Amino acid sequence: MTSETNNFARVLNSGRLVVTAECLPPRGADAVFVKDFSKKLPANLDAVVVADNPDAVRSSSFSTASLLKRQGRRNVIMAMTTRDRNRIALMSDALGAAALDIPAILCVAGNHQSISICPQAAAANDLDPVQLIHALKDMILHGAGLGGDKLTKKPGFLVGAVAQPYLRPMELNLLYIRKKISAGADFLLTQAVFDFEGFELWMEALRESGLDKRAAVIPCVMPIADLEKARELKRTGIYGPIPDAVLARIDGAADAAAEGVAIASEMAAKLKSMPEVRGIHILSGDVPEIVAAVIEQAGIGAGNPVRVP
Amino acid sequence: MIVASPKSITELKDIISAHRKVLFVGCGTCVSVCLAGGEREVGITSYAVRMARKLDRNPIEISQITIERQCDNEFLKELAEPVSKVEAVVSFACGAGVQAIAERFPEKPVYAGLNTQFLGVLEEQAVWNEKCLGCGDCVLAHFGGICPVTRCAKRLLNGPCGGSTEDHCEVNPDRPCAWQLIYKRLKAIGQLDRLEEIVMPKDWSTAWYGGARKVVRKEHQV
Repeated sequence: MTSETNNFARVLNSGRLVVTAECLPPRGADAVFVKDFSKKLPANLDAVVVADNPDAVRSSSFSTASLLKRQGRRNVIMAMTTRDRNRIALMSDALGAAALDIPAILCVAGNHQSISICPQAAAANDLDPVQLIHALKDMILHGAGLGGDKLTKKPGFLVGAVAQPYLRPMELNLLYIRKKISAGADFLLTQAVFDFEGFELWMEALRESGLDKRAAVIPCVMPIADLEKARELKRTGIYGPIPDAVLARIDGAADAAAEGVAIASEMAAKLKSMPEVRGIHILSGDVPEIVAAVIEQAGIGAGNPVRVP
Repeated sequence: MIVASPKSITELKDIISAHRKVLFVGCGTCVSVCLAGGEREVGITSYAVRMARKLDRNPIEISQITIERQCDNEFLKELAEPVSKVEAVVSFACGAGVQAIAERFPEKPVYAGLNTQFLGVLEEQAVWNEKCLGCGDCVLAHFGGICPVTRCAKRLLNGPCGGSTEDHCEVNPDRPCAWQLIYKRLKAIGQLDRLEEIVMPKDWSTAWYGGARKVVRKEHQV
Protein backbone atom coordinates (compact mmCIF):
# COMPACT_ATOMS: atom_id res chain seq x y z
CA MET A 1 0.00 0.00 0.00
CA THR A 2 1.33 3.43 -0.92
CA SER A 3 -0.01 6.84 0.02
CA GLU A 4 -1.91 6.81 -3.30
CA THR A 5 -3.61 3.46 -2.76
CA ASN A 6 -4.47 4.09 0.92
CA ASN A 7 -8.21 3.53 1.09
CA PHE A 8 -8.70 5.28 4.44
CA ALA A 9 -6.86 8.34 3.11
CA ARG A 10 -9.19 8.36 0.12
CA VAL A 11 -12.30 8.12 2.32
CA LEU A 12 -11.01 10.80 4.68
CA ASN A 13 -10.27 13.14 1.80
CA SER A 14 -13.53 12.43 -0.03
CA GLY A 15 -15.29 14.98 2.13
CA ARG A 16 -17.81 12.43 3.37
CA LEU A 17 -18.30 12.13 7.14
CA VAL A 18 -16.25 9.10 8.19
CA VAL A 19 -17.50 6.76 10.90
CA THR A 20 -15.01 4.71 12.87
CA ALA A 21 -15.19 2.52 15.97
CA GLU A 22 -12.80 1.26 18.58
CA CYS A 23 -11.79 -2.34 19.11
CA LEU A 24 -10.45 -3.28 22.53
CA PRO A 25 -8.25 -6.36 22.10
CA PRO A 26 -9.08 -9.41 24.23
CA ARG A 27 -7.59 -9.99 27.68
CA GLY A 28 -6.52 -13.47 26.65
CA ALA A 29 -4.93 -15.40 23.78
CA ASP A 30 -8.26 -15.31 22.02
CA ALA A 31 -8.55 -15.12 18.24
CA VAL A 32 -12.21 -16.15 18.40
CA PHE A 33 -13.01 -13.06 20.49
CA VAL A 34 -11.64 -10.83 17.72
CA LYS A 35 -13.59 -12.76 15.08
CA ASP A 36 -16.84 -12.36 17.04
CA PHE A 37 -16.08 -8.72 17.80
CA SER A 38 -15.63 -8.01 14.10
CA LYS A 39 -18.86 -9.81 13.19
CA LYS A 40 -20.82 -7.69 15.66
CA LEU A 41 -19.47 -4.40 14.25
CA PRO A 42 -21.27 -2.86 11.26
CA ALA A 43 -19.73 -4.11 8.01
CA ASN A 44 -19.49 -0.68 6.41
CA LEU A 45 -17.48 1.17 9.06
CA ASP A 46 -14.86 3.39 7.48
CA ALA A 47 -12.25 2.07 9.89
CA VAL A 48 -11.76 0.12 13.10
CA VAL A 49 -9.23 1.61 15.51
CA VAL A 50 -7.44 -0.99 17.62
CA ALA A 51 -6.50 0.28 21.08
CA ASP A 52 -3.09 -0.38 22.59
CA ASN A 53 -3.37 -1.55 26.22
CA PRO A 54 -5.50 1.44 27.23
CA ASP A 55 -6.74 0.13 30.55
CA ALA A 56 -5.10 -3.25 31.21
CA VAL A 57 -2.70 -5.67 29.63
CA ARG A 58 -4.57 -6.90 26.59
CA SER A 59 -3.56 -8.80 23.48
CA SER A 60 -1.34 -6.69 21.24
CA SER A 61 -2.84 -4.06 18.96
CA PHE A 62 -0.60 -5.39 16.19
CA SER A 63 -1.92 -8.95 16.31
CA THR A 64 -5.53 -7.82 16.84
CA ALA A 65 -5.27 -5.54 13.82
CA SER A 66 -3.93 -8.43 11.79
CA LEU A 67 -6.78 -10.71 12.95
CA LEU A 68 -9.33 -8.04 12.04
CA LYS A 69 -7.86 -7.82 8.55
CA ARG A 70 -8.25 -11.58 8.23
CA GLN A 71 -11.93 -11.01 8.97
CA GLY A 72 -12.09 -8.91 5.84
CA ARG A 73 -11.92 -5.55 7.61
CA ARG A 74 -10.33 -3.28 5.05
CA ASN A 75 -9.30 -0.29 7.12
CA VAL A 76 -7.82 -1.27 10.44
CA ILE A 77 -6.02 1.53 12.26
CA MET A 78 -3.48 0.63 14.89
CA ALA A 79 -2.88 2.72 18.01
CA MET A 80 0.68 2.74 19.32
CA THR A 81 1.62 4.07 22.74
CA THR A 82 5.00 5.64 23.34
CA ARG A 83 4.68 4.21 26.84
CA ASP A 84 5.26 0.59 25.90
CA ARG A 85 7.77 0.71 23.06
CA ASN A 86 11.08 2.43 22.68
CA ARG A 87 11.96 4.05 19.34
CA ILE A 88 13.39 0.80 17.99
CA ALA A 89 10.16 -1.12 18.63
CA LEU A 90 7.96 1.78 17.45
CA MET A 91 9.72 2.06 14.11
CA SER A 92 9.92 -1.68 13.65
CA ASP A 93 6.21 -2.20 14.42
CA ALA A 94 5.29 0.71 12.15
CA LEU A 95 7.16 -0.88 9.24
CA GLY A 96 5.49 -4.21 9.98
CA ALA A 97 2.09 -2.53 10.12
CA ALA A 98 2.72 -0.86 6.77
CA ALA A 99 3.61 -4.22 5.25
CA LEU A 100 0.24 -5.51 6.52
CA ASP A 101 -1.49 -2.59 4.76
CA ILE A 102 -2.51 -0.83 7.97
CA PRO A 103 -3.83 2.47 6.56
CA ALA A 104 -3.13 4.64 9.59
CA ILE A 105 -1.25 4.66 12.88
CA LEU A 106 -2.64 6.56 15.84
CA CYS A 107 0.17 7.98 17.97
CA VAL A 108 -0.70 8.12 21.65
CA ALA A 109 1.23 8.60 24.87
CA GLY A 110 -0.97 6.02 26.61
CA ASN A 111 -2.49 6.22 30.06
CA HIS A 112 0.16 6.26 32.71
CA GLN A 113 0.99 2.69 33.73
CA SER A 114 0.26 3.49 37.37
CA ILE A 115 -3.37 4.24 36.51
CA SER A 116 -5.02 0.81 36.52
CA ILE A 117 -2.56 -1.00 34.23
CA CYS A 118 0.59 -2.02 36.09
CA PRO A 119 2.07 0.40 38.66
CA GLN A 120 5.28 -1.64 38.97
CA ALA A 121 6.15 -1.39 35.27
CA ALA A 122 8.91 0.81 33.87
CA ALA A 123 7.62 2.79 30.90
CA ALA A 124 9.65 3.26 27.72
CA ASN A 125 8.78 6.94 27.11
CA ASP A 126 11.75 7.10 24.74
CA LEU A 127 9.85 9.20 22.19
CA ASP A 128 6.78 11.28 22.93
CA PRO A 129 3.76 11.29 20.58
CA VAL A 130 4.93 14.41 18.70
CA GLN A 131 8.33 12.85 18.11
CA LEU A 132 6.66 9.62 16.97
CA ILE A 133 4.40 11.51 14.55
CA HIS A 134 7.45 13.30 13.18
CA ALA A 135 9.48 10.10 12.85
CA LEU A 136 6.63 8.27 11.06
CA LYS A 137 6.17 11.19 8.69
CA ASP A 138 9.88 11.13 7.97
CA MET A 139 9.52 7.49 6.92
CA ILE A 140 6.51 8.23 4.71
CA LEU A 141 7.87 11.33 2.99
CA HIS A 142 11.59 10.66 2.85
CA GLY A 143 11.96 6.94 3.41
CA ALA A 144 14.12 7.77 6.39
CA GLY A 145 14.32 5.25 9.20
CA LEU A 146 15.87 5.62 12.62
CA GLY A 147 19.08 7.61 12.59
CA GLY A 148 18.59 8.47 8.91
CA ASP A 149 18.85 4.89 7.56
CA LYS A 150 17.29 4.60 4.12
CA LEU A 151 14.22 2.35 4.01
CA THR A 152 13.93 -0.12 1.14
CA LYS A 153 10.27 0.88 0.78
CA LYS A 154 8.35 3.86 2.15
CA PRO A 155 5.23 3.16 4.23
CA GLY A 156 1.95 4.61 2.96
CA PHE A 157 -0.06 4.98 6.15
CA LEU A 158 -1.62 8.14 7.52
CA VAL A 159 -0.57 9.43 10.90
CA GLY A 160 -3.14 10.20 13.56
CA ALA A 161 -2.84 12.12 16.80
CA VAL A 162 -5.02 12.42 19.87
CA ALA A 163 -6.52 15.77 20.85
CA GLN A 164 -7.97 16.72 24.24
CA PRO A 165 -10.66 19.38 23.65
CA TYR A 166 -10.89 20.12 27.36
CA LEU A 167 -7.24 20.83 28.06
CA ARG A 168 -6.95 24.37 29.40
CA PRO A 169 -5.63 27.04 29.09
CA MET A 170 -6.83 27.14 25.48
CA GLU A 171 -3.60 28.81 24.37
CA LEU A 172 -1.60 25.80 25.60
CA ASN A 173 -4.11 23.42 23.99
CA LEU A 174 -3.72 25.14 20.61
CA LEU A 175 0.07 25.30 20.86
CA TYR A 176 0.14 21.55 21.35
CA ILE A 177 -2.35 20.78 18.55
CA ARG A 178 -0.40 23.03 16.19
CA LYS A 179 2.75 21.16 17.09
CA LYS A 180 1.16 17.77 16.43
CA ILE A 181 -0.07 19.01 13.05
CA SER A 182 3.29 20.57 12.17
CA ALA A 183 4.95 17.26 13.06
CA GLY A 184 2.72 15.59 10.48
CA ALA A 185 -0.62 14.51 11.99
CA ASP A 186 -3.17 13.95 9.21
CA PHE A 187 -6.11 13.54 11.55
CA LEU A 188 -6.99 14.27 15.17
CA LEU A 189 -9.05 11.82 17.17
CA THR A 190 -10.46 13.57 20.23
CA GLN A 191 -11.18 12.26 23.68
CA ALA A 192 -14.84 11.35 24.22
CA VAL A 193 -17.16 14.36 24.18
CA PHE A 194 -19.82 14.80 26.84
CA ASP A 195 -19.74 18.56 27.35
CA PHE A 196 -20.85 19.99 24.00
CA GLU A 197 -20.36 23.65 24.98
CA GLY A 198 -16.75 22.99 25.97
CA PHE A 199 -16.20 21.20 22.68
CA GLU A 200 -17.72 24.10 20.72
CA LEU A 201 -15.35 26.52 22.45
CA TRP A 202 -12.41 24.37 21.43
CA MET A 203 -13.63 23.99 17.86
CA GLU A 204 -14.12 27.74 17.62
CA ALA A 205 -10.51 28.23 18.74
CA LEU A 206 -9.31 25.67 16.16
CA ARG A 207 -11.31 27.43 13.46
CA GLU A 208 -9.95 30.86 14.37
CA SER A 209 -6.40 29.56 14.14
CA GLY A 210 -7.11 27.64 10.92
CA LEU A 211 -6.06 24.35 12.49
CA ASP A 212 -9.30 22.59 11.53
CA LYS A 213 -8.22 22.93 7.89
CA ARG A 214 -4.80 21.41 8.47
CA ALA A 215 -5.91 18.08 9.95
CA ALA A 216 -9.21 16.19 9.92
CA VAL A 217 -10.94 16.51 13.28
CA ILE A 218 -12.76 13.34 14.31
CA PRO A 219 -14.51 13.71 17.67
CA CYS A 220 -15.30 10.69 19.74
CA VAL A 221 -18.46 9.61 21.54
CA MET A 222 -18.74 6.97 24.22
CA PRO A 223 -21.90 5.26 25.47
CA ILE A 224 -21.76 5.07 29.27
CA ALA A 225 -22.74 1.61 30.51
CA ASP A 226 -23.96 2.45 34.02
CA LEU A 227 -24.07 5.03 36.80
CA GLU A 228 -20.84 3.76 38.32
CA LYS A 229 -18.96 4.41 35.07
CA ALA A 230 -20.56 7.86 34.77
CA ARG A 231 -19.45 8.75 38.29
CA GLU A 232 -15.95 7.48 37.60
CA LEU A 233 -15.67 9.63 34.47
CA LYS A 234 -16.89 12.64 36.39
CA ARG A 235 -14.40 12.00 39.20
CA THR A 236 -11.35 11.39 37.00
CA GLY A 237 -12.23 14.04 34.43
CA ILE A 238 -10.36 12.18 31.68
CA TYR A 239 -13.03 13.15 29.15
CA GLY A 240 -13.46 16.66 30.47
CA PRO A 241 -16.50 17.77 32.45
CA ILE A 242 -19.43 15.32 32.61
CA PRO A 243 -22.62 17.41 32.79
CA ASP A 244 -24.94 16.66 35.72
CA ALA A 245 -27.74 16.06 33.20
CA VAL A 246 -25.84 13.01 31.89
CA LEU A 247 -25.62 11.50 35.37
CA ALA A 248 -29.26 12.28 36.05
CA ARG A 249 -30.38 10.59 32.83
CA ILE A 250 -28.31 7.46 33.47
CA ASP A 251 -29.52 7.37 37.08
CA GLY A 252 -33.18 7.78 36.17
CA ALA A 253 -33.24 5.33 33.27
CA ALA A 254 -34.85 1.90 33.50
CA ASP A 255 -32.11 0.63 31.17
CA ALA A 256 -28.92 2.59 31.94
CA ALA A 257 -26.92 1.09 29.07
CA ALA A 258 -29.63 1.98 26.52
CA GLU A 259 -29.72 5.50 27.93
CA GLY A 260 -25.93 5.68 27.56
CA VAL A 261 -26.30 4.78 23.88
CA ALA A 262 -29.03 7.42 23.48
CA ILE A 263 -26.84 10.12 25.08
CA ALA A 264 -23.87 9.20 22.87
CA SER A 265 -26.10 9.14 19.78
CA GLU A 266 -27.53 12.58 20.51
CA MET A 267 -24.00 13.87 20.94
CA ALA A 268 -22.90 12.25 17.66
CA ALA A 269 -25.83 13.92 15.86
CA LYS A 270 -24.88 17.33 17.31
CA LEU A 271 -21.21 16.87 16.42
CA LYS A 272 -22.12 15.79 12.89
CA SER A 273 -23.92 19.09 12.38
CA MET A 274 -20.69 21.04 12.94
CA PRO A 275 -19.16 21.81 9.54
CA GLU A 276 -15.57 21.30 10.78
CA VAL A 277 -16.22 17.78 12.01
CA ARG A 278 -14.86 15.27 9.48
CA GLY A 279 -15.94 12.10 11.18
CA ILE A 280 -17.28 10.43 14.31
CA HIS A 281 -15.38 7.83 16.30
CA ILE A 282 -17.36 5.52 18.57
CA LEU A 283 -15.76 4.02 21.67
CA SER A 284 -17.45 0.66 22.02
CA GLY A 285 -15.62 -0.71 25.04
CA ASP A 286 -16.14 -4.44 25.17
CA VAL A 287 -19.61 -4.15 23.60
CA PRO A 288 -19.35 -4.01 19.79
CA GLU A 289 -23.16 -4.15 19.37
CA ILE A 290 -23.56 -0.57 20.57
CA VAL A 291 -21.70 0.78 17.52
CA ALA A 292 -24.56 -0.08 15.15
CA ALA A 293 -27.06 1.34 17.65
CA VAL A 294 -25.25 4.69 17.85
CA ILE A 295 -24.90 4.90 14.07
CA GLU A 296 -28.61 4.28 13.61
CA GLN A 297 -29.85 6.58 16.36
CA ALA A 298 -27.47 9.39 15.38
CA GLY A 299 -28.27 9.06 11.68
CA ILE A 300 -24.64 8.83 10.69
CA GLY A 301 -24.91 5.80 8.42
CA ALA A 302 -24.89 5.78 4.65
CA GLY A 303 -25.76 8.98 2.82
CA ASN A 304 -23.85 11.30 5.11
CA PRO A 305 -23.45 14.76 3.69
CA VAL A 306 -20.34 15.40 1.66
CA ARG A 307 -18.17 18.10 3.13
CA VAL A 308 -15.30 19.79 1.44
CA PRO A 309 -12.10 19.24 3.39
CA MET B 1 21.20 17.65 46.78
CA ILE B 2 20.84 13.88 46.93
CA VAL B 3 17.70 13.05 48.89
CA ALA B 4 17.39 9.77 50.77
CA SER B 5 15.01 8.26 53.28
CA PRO B 6 15.66 5.77 56.09
CA LYS B 7 14.98 2.06 55.72
CA SER B 8 12.57 0.72 58.34
CA ILE B 9 14.04 -0.69 61.53
CA THR B 10 12.45 -4.04 60.62
CA GLU B 11 14.24 -4.20 57.27
CA LEU B 12 17.51 -2.99 58.72
CA LYS B 13 17.33 -5.54 61.52
CA ASP B 14 16.71 -8.26 58.95
CA ILE B 15 19.68 -7.17 56.78
CA ILE B 16 22.15 -7.42 59.68
CA SER B 17 20.53 -10.28 61.56
CA ALA B 18 23.62 -12.52 61.16
CA HIS B 19 26.03 -9.99 62.71
CA ARG B 20 26.70 -9.21 66.35
CA LYS B 21 29.18 -6.39 66.04
CA VAL B 22 28.40 -3.69 63.49
CA LEU B 23 29.59 -0.18 62.63
CA PHE B 24 26.97 2.40 61.59
CA VAL B 25 28.54 5.10 59.40
CA GLY B 26 26.77 8.43 58.89
CA CYS B 27 27.54 10.91 56.13
CA GLY B 28 27.87 14.60 56.86
CA THR B 29 26.82 15.94 53.46
CA CYS B 30 23.53 15.55 51.50
CA VAL B 31 21.89 12.93 53.71
CA SER B 32 22.62 14.97 56.85
CA VAL B 33 20.88 17.96 55.31
CA CYS B 34 17.87 15.85 54.34
CA LEU B 35 17.66 14.41 57.86
CA ALA B 36 18.21 10.80 56.82
CA GLY B 37 21.80 9.72 57.47
CA GLY B 38 23.63 12.30 59.55
CA GLU B 39 25.06 11.91 63.06
CA ARG B 40 21.69 12.47 64.72
CA GLU B 41 19.81 9.90 62.60
CA VAL B 42 22.56 7.30 62.95
CA GLY B 43 22.36 7.74 66.74
CA ILE B 44 18.59 7.30 66.85
CA THR B 45 18.65 4.33 64.44
CA SER B 46 21.39 2.47 66.29
CA TYR B 47 19.50 2.94 69.55
CA ALA B 48 16.33 1.53 67.95
CA VAL B 49 18.14 -1.45 66.41
CA ARG B 50 19.91 -2.20 69.70
CA MET B 51 16.57 -2.17 71.54
CA ALA B 52 14.90 -4.38 68.92
CA ARG B 53 17.69 -6.92 69.02
CA LYS B 54 17.59 -6.96 72.80
CA LEU B 55 13.87 -7.71 72.71
CA ASP B 56 14.66 -10.53 70.27
CA ARG B 57 17.16 -11.89 72.84
CA ASN B 58 19.85 -11.51 70.21
CA PRO B 59 21.86 -8.49 71.43
CA ILE B 60 24.04 -6.53 69.05
CA GLU B 61 26.97 -4.21 69.63
CA ILE B 62 26.74 -1.12 67.44
CA SER B 63 29.45 1.52 67.21
CA GLN B 64 28.88 4.79 65.33
CA ILE B 65 30.87 7.29 63.35
CA THR B 66 29.87 10.08 60.98
CA ILE B 67 32.36 11.31 58.40
CA GLU B 68 32.28 14.41 56.22
CA ARG B 69 31.62 12.68 52.86
CA GLN B 70 31.45 8.96 52.15
CA CYS B 71 31.73 9.49 48.39
CA ASP B 72 35.20 11.02 48.78
CA ASN B 73 38.18 8.69 49.31
CA GLU B 74 39.96 11.35 51.31
CA PHE B 75 37.46 11.03 54.17
CA LEU B 76 37.26 7.21 54.08
CA LYS B 77 40.76 6.93 55.58
CA GLU B 78 39.44 7.63 59.07
CA LEU B 79 37.20 4.55 58.83
CA ALA B 80 40.13 2.08 58.69
CA GLU B 81 40.42 1.56 62.41
CA PRO B 82 36.73 1.41 63.42
CA VAL B 83 35.94 -0.89 60.46
CA SER B 84 38.72 -3.28 61.49
CA LYS B 85 36.96 -3.86 64.83
CA VAL B 86 33.53 -4.97 63.50
CA GLU B 87 31.98 -7.82 61.52
CA ALA B 88 30.03 -5.57 59.17
CA VAL B 89 29.29 -1.96 58.22
CA VAL B 90 25.98 -0.20 57.62
CA SER B 91 26.44 2.95 55.57
CA PHE B 92 23.87 5.71 56.01
CA ALA B 93 24.95 7.51 52.85
CA CYS B 94 23.48 7.55 49.35
CA GLY B 95 24.14 4.51 47.16
CA ALA B 96 27.41 6.08 45.99
CA GLY B 97 28.71 6.32 49.56
CA VAL B 98 27.74 2.73 50.35
CA GLN B 99 29.62 1.47 47.30
CA ALA B 100 32.64 3.65 48.03
CA ILE B 101 32.97 2.05 51.47
CA ALA B 102 32.43 -1.44 50.05
CA GLU B 103 35.23 -0.85 47.54
CA ARG B 104 37.53 0.54 50.18
CA PHE B 105 37.01 -2.46 52.49
CA PRO B 106 36.70 -5.47 50.16
CA GLU B 107 36.89 -7.99 52.98
CA LYS B 108 33.99 -6.54 54.99
CA PRO B 109 30.22 -6.86 54.36
CA VAL B 110 28.80 -3.36 53.74
CA TYR B 111 25.04 -2.70 53.74
CA ALA B 112 22.85 0.28 52.87
CA GLY B 113 20.89 1.85 55.72
CA LEU B 114 18.97 4.28 53.50
CA ASN B 115 16.93 4.23 50.33
CA THR B 116 18.48 6.76 47.97
CA GLN B 117 15.66 8.68 46.31
CA PHE B 118 16.61 11.47 43.94
CA LEU B 119 18.27 14.80 43.19
CA GLY B 120 15.92 17.30 44.71
CA VAL B 121 15.10 20.41 46.62
CA LEU B 122 13.79 21.09 50.12
CA GLU B 123 10.60 23.02 49.45
CA GLU B 124 9.09 23.22 52.90
CA GLN B 125 9.99 21.82 56.31
CA ALA B 126 10.68 18.08 55.82
CA VAL B 127 9.35 17.99 52.23
CA TRP B 128 11.68 17.33 49.33
CA ASN B 129 10.78 17.25 45.64
CA GLU B 130 12.61 15.63 42.77
CA LYS B 131 13.96 18.03 40.16
CA CYS B 132 16.73 16.36 38.18
CA LEU B 133 17.26 12.91 36.69
CA GLY B 134 20.89 13.48 35.76
CA CYS B 135 20.32 12.72 32.07
CA GLY B 136 23.75 14.02 31.09
CA ASP B 137 22.49 16.52 28.51
CA CYS B 138 20.60 19.33 30.21
CA VAL B 139 17.60 20.66 28.29
CA LEU B 140 16.35 23.18 30.88
CA ALA B 141 17.09 26.09 28.53
CA HIS B 142 14.20 25.02 26.28
CA PHE B 143 11.65 24.73 29.05
CA GLY B 144 11.96 27.86 31.11
CA GLY B 145 14.05 26.11 33.73
CA ILE B 146 11.46 23.40 34.49
CA CYS B 147 12.53 19.88 33.59
CA PRO B 148 9.93 17.76 31.76
CA VAL B 149 12.34 14.81 31.63
CA THR B 150 12.12 14.59 35.42
CA ARG B 151 8.84 16.24 36.29
CA CYS B 152 6.43 14.99 33.60
CA ALA B 153 5.35 11.46 34.59
CA LYS B 154 5.16 10.53 30.90
CA ARG B 155 8.41 12.33 30.11
CA LEU B 156 6.67 14.32 27.36
CA LEU B 157 9.03 16.83 25.76
CA ASN B 158 6.55 18.58 23.48
CA GLY B 159 3.47 19.35 25.53
CA PRO B 160 1.00 18.17 28.17
CA CYS B 161 -0.89 14.88 28.08
CA GLY B 162 -4.67 14.69 27.98
CA GLY B 163 -4.82 14.22 31.74
CA SER B 164 -3.19 17.57 32.50
CA THR B 165 -5.19 20.07 34.50
CA GLU B 166 -4.28 23.56 35.60
CA ASP B 167 -4.06 22.31 39.18
CA HIS B 168 -2.28 19.01 39.08
CA CYS B 169 -0.74 15.99 37.37
CA GLU B 170 -3.17 13.19 36.52
CA VAL B 171 -0.84 10.57 37.94
CA ASN B 172 -0.46 12.22 41.35
CA PRO B 173 -2.84 14.98 42.47
CA ASP B 174 -0.23 16.17 45.01
CA ARG B 175 1.99 17.31 42.19
CA PRO B 176 1.56 20.15 39.71
CA CYS B 177 1.54 19.33 35.99
CA ALA B 178 5.06 20.15 34.77
CA TRP B 179 3.67 21.31 31.43
CA GLN B 180 1.33 23.81 33.01
CA LEU B 181 4.34 25.16 34.93
CA ILE B 182 6.46 25.29 31.76
CA TYR B 183 3.71 27.12 29.90
CA LYS B 184 3.24 29.70 32.66
CA ARG B 185 6.95 30.23 33.09
CA LEU B 186 7.71 30.61 29.36
CA LYS B 187 4.84 33.05 29.08
CA ALA B 188 6.12 35.05 32.05
CA ILE B 189 9.63 35.36 30.59
CA GLY B 190 8.41 36.15 27.09
CA GLN B 191 9.59 32.89 25.53
CA LEU B 192 6.31 31.20 24.64
CA ASP B 193 7.55 30.86 21.07
CA ARG B 194 9.78 28.05 22.31
CA LEU B 195 6.64 25.93 22.56
CA GLU B 196 6.17 26.23 18.80
CA GLU B 197 9.39 24.33 18.12
CA ILE B 198 9.22 20.56 17.85
CA VAL B 199 11.66 19.15 20.37
CA MET B 200 13.40 16.29 18.60
CA PRO B 201 13.96 12.87 20.22
CA LYS B 202 16.41 13.07 23.07
CA ASP B 203 19.74 11.29 22.79
CA TRP B 204 19.51 8.98 25.78
CA SER B 205 23.03 7.67 25.31
CA THR B 206 24.23 10.42 27.66
CA ALA B 207 21.86 9.14 30.34
CA TRP B 208 22.15 5.87 32.22
CA TYR B 209 21.04 3.83 29.19
CA GLY B 210 24.60 3.44 28.00
CA GLY B 211 25.52 1.82 31.31
CA ALA B 212 27.19 3.45 34.32
CA ARG B 213 28.77 6.73 33.28
CA LYS B 214 32.16 8.21 33.95
CA VAL B 215 33.27 11.83 33.97
CA VAL B 216 36.92 12.54 33.22
CA ARG B 217 38.11 16.15 33.30
CA LYS B 218 41.56 16.05 31.78
CA GLU B 219 42.32 19.67 32.65
CA HIS B 220 42.08 18.81 36.32
CA GLN B 221 44.02 15.55 36.20
CA VAL B 222 47.52 15.42 37.65
